[in-house]
Amino acid sequence: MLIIKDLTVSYGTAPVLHKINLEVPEGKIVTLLGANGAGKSTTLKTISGLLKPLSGQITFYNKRIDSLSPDQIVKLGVSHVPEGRQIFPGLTVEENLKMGAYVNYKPREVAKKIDMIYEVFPRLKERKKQLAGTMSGGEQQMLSIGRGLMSEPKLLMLDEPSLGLAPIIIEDIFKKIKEINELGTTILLIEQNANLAFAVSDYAYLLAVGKIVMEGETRVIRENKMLLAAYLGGSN
Amino acid sequence: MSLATLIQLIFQGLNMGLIYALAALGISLIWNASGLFNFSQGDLLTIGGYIMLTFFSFLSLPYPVAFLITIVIMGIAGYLLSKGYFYPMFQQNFNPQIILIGTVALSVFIRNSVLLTWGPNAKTYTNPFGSKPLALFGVNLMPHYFWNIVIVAVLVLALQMFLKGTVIGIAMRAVAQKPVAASLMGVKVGQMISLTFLLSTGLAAISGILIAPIIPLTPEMGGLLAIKAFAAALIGGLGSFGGALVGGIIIGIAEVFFATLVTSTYKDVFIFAVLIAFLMIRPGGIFRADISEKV
Ligand SMILES: Nc1ncnc2c1ncn2[C@@H]1O[C@H](COP(=O)(O)OP(=O)(O)O)[C@@H](O)[C@H]1O
Ligand SMILES: [Mg+2]
Repeated sequence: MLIIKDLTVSYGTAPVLHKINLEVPEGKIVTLLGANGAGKSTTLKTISGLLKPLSGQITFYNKRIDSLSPDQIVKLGVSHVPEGRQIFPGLTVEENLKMGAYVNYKPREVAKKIDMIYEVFPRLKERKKQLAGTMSGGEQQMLSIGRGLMSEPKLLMLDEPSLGLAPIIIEDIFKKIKEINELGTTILLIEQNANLAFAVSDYAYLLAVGKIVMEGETRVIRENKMLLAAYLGGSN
Repeated sequence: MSLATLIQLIFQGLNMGLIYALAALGISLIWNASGLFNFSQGDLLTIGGYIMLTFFSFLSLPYPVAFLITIVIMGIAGYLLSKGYFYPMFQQNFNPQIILIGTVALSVFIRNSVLLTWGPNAKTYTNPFGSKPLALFGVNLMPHYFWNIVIVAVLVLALQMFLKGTVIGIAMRAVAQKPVAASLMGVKVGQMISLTFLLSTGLAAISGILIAPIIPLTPEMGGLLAIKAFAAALIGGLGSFGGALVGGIIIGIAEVFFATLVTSTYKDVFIFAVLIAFLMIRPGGIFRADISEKV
């Protein structure tokens, strides 16, 4: 469904991504692994239209999207849950969710979608009138994912959903990610923690200093312990 | 001082304060949305007054009609100002100080344009709410005191309802808090910022409309008004809705009391002193605008 071809992206003059190729098939969970600074977030920002590539192309359902604006890309069904959650701290949980449906806002449908999000994340329902900034990190991450689902995306892109969370909460969040995928949403997941990612994903890419250095089915990739350790550090 | 005088001064100060508060609210809205200041805010207020003068006094349109026309014209002007100047500069990450200096130039430009269009003499129009004080329990109160309270209350409520109760309003607040995340939601950040300028300029215009029957319009009056509006926003807490109101009222009342009890010659200097004293005691303003109550 999403195909990236020879994508080169730079901030200013120095390229951060060098001709990367990546594919996300419908229905799967694909992981993009890489150490800090490898260019993972840059990849997602380019897909969602926040950054414009220097060269290369991105197609979504056979349509070029690399020159579209973020709102057009959301409308096509790509949702980007950014690194560090980026919820709107001074809006209530409910208002945050409403913002997720901004591009196609129909009050009745939005109310229904919000109820669906509350089914996936019951915690959010308990806190619906609370200001999002006053919630715990884990709850904020749930909200950020919930907000990302409000546009009913075909492709959900998650940038390090485990960042800064306690292991028990991470486990919970990854369970939800699996659940969301099983309900039919394709997922492009970014992680630094390989073991977490391997537990849920079908296919993985390894990014190092702006280049894809390895890719393959998760069960194959995970066996290549030495290479993973070399690129991701000893903790994996 | 008799109780009657006291009440009279409070009303008089409250009336001026609410007018400053509207302009301060506009300043806070823009600050939240873009982190920018518009130094020409006071001059936009002046033009609002002059446009009202033209429609209400020269063309003799009914007050509400002239009022609405003026707000619409000024709102559009604010929108275009953002599209043409603020947002392009903001988007290209110009240093906020440079953007601010540009608005100083804009302020000079507006003053000279007003001078060319309407001339140097002070101008005013008849007070639509009547210029005969009402004697209530021995206190002489101008009818416009009450009308202005009603007008400002309605405006503030409407603005709150817009910001809290509509998707566009929520999106405007979202942009003020997390512009990048908002654009990931498909919100067009530039449009929201321009909309903020529209609101802000509309509010300034209403200040101008309400002030003209009280303080005659002159081409350069915007400078002092801007300072009072900025003082109100800073004292209340930059970016805070309630702060703009309270700050405006403090400035209005302080000014009236000082002018009456001490001397009216130095009332503007006194406002500076109040501002500086406030900033020394409480640099963040009364309501340090924590996110929860940002406009
Ligand atoms: N806004 C920016 N301006 C300049 N360089 C940036 C910017 N954002 C990221 N970079 C650089 O691009 C590289 C990749 O960053 P990023 O995509 O955030 O990595 P990752 O998400 O894999 O940790 C890093 O070297 C980083 O310093
Ligand atoms: Mg990153």
